[in-house]
Amino acid sequence: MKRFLPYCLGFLVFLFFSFSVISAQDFDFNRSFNDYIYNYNLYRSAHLEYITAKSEFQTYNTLTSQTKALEATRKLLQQRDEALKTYLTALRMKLKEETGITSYKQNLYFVKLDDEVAWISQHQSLLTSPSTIEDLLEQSEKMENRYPTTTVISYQTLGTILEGKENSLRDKVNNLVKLTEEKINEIRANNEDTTIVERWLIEAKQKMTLSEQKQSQAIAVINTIEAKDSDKAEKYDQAKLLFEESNQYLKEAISFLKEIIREVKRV
Amino acid sequence: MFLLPLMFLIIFILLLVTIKKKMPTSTTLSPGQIPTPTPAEFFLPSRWATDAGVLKIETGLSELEDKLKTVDLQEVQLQPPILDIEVKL
Repeated sequence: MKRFLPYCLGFLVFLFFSFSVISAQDFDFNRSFNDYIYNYNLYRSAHLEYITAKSEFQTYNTLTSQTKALEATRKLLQQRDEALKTYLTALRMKLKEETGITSYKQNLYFVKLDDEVAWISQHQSLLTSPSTIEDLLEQSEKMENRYPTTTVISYQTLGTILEGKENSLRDKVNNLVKLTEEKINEIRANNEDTTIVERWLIEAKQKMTLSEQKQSQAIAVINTIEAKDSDKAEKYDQAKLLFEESNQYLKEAISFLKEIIREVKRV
Repeated sequence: MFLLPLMFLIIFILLLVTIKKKMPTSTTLSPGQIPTPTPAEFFLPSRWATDAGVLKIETGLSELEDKLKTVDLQEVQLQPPILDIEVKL
């Protein structure tokens, strides 16, 4: 019997790690996003309860209404932390699944997001112990002070996700530009006139340059967002617009390449 | 004496004119207006028209064009959540 004990233990360890791997694989962006939506809805319910309890407490100012308000506030703060935590986790998963981001930048934002989640978890644990309204409000103020930094990280991560999408698309367009150029060279080597298509190719390349410039501008705008800013959302919207303009140039480059191919296919 | 019937007649004529204006105009075309299809652009294919490399680029361009049209550069659902941060009692 003792002979089989190591094998049994080994099998159990194998099973444990297999389940861990499967569970890690299952947790993707969609799952994390659903978690966030679920928790955000719970937060909204908690917020409604808090508003009602607060109103009752302010009207009657009794011990019962005070206890009710205390509990409603605690629930709200806990649920607010949970909603924010799951939101940041969803953002992290989206960043993880985006392929066009450099690993350096990806890791940089992983660290920043993980720090925020760790801070919120720690903050959340302080809300579980019995406390007074003053204690709860003090904890809420800590979050109030932290939240602008969390928002900056959120917008910067979102900007990085958009940058990744654009990078990925631009790489593909660049690859097609390269293939088209090779094909034009091949045609020219066959003593055929390629003057027009060569000129068009230069214009397609110019569109690629313009696309890169717009993206650089978008990243620059994202990098200017600071915790003290009151117009973080506006700056992010401005960056989004620049990303769209960058995308428009890619579309135009594709359109030019299509014209080149059409020209190549005719006598 | 003839004023009243004359007025009725004028009103009747005006009504007729208004009704005629409101009546739908005919959608049928006159014999001279027969629609003709836009002539398709025909061209003689070059020796590169069936080249595998050219066709590969063409397919790649069409696929990428679709991706560029459908890419989500808004990520509205991932905007920071609206939270009541200033909790006061």
